[in-house]
Amino acid sequence: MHPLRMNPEEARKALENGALLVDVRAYEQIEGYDFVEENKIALPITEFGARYTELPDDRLVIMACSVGVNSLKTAYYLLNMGYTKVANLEGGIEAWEAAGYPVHKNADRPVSSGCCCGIGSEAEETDCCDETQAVEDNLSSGSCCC
Amino acid sequence: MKTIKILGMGCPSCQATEDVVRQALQQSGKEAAVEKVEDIQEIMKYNVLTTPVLVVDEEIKIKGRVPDVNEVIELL
Repeated sequence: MHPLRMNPEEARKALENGALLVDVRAYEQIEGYDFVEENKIALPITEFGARYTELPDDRLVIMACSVGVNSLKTAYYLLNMGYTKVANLEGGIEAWEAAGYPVHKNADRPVSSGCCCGIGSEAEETDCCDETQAVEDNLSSGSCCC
Repeated sequence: MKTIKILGMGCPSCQATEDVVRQALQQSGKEAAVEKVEDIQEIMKYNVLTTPVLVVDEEIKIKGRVPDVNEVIELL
């Protein structure tokens, strides 16, 4: 079973029809760059395994993150745990903003796109998403799913 | 011979984990079949949210961090 894959337009329409947007980025990331959307909650991927039961199973949940990778993992996780109404926002908040939907940016908080590892923003910055390190390691920046 | 799978989506941490596994095999002189799993659907068959993940003979041993060489040697 696979999650529904939604582009921003499809997600927006679903949210208008009662779906819930679940942002799985770290709180620090959300504070810096957030969806302007009423039907949303934050449930960081680092807490997801312990708290996923807080999510409704009788309502479509649309998983979202920076670019749609970590959220896809959480979408599959929910399906594995018995949820059936699960979608993923393809391209994450970056696609959402690119499609013209409103976001809130906090100038006091740097925007970090995070990483597919899902091991927290601090580790992401130092161990995973350091593009300089990636280049030194002879990996292209595209090798990380940031 | 053990089978070692490294689950991760190709980021530097996952690459580092593979390097550690190769070093552990070299230092220990043991042999193992090493497989990288980068496809998200395959990764999620293990129902893990954080990567890299080290799987030895289909059992998850380490997840969400890069192990050190000695740690991996003990798993071989």
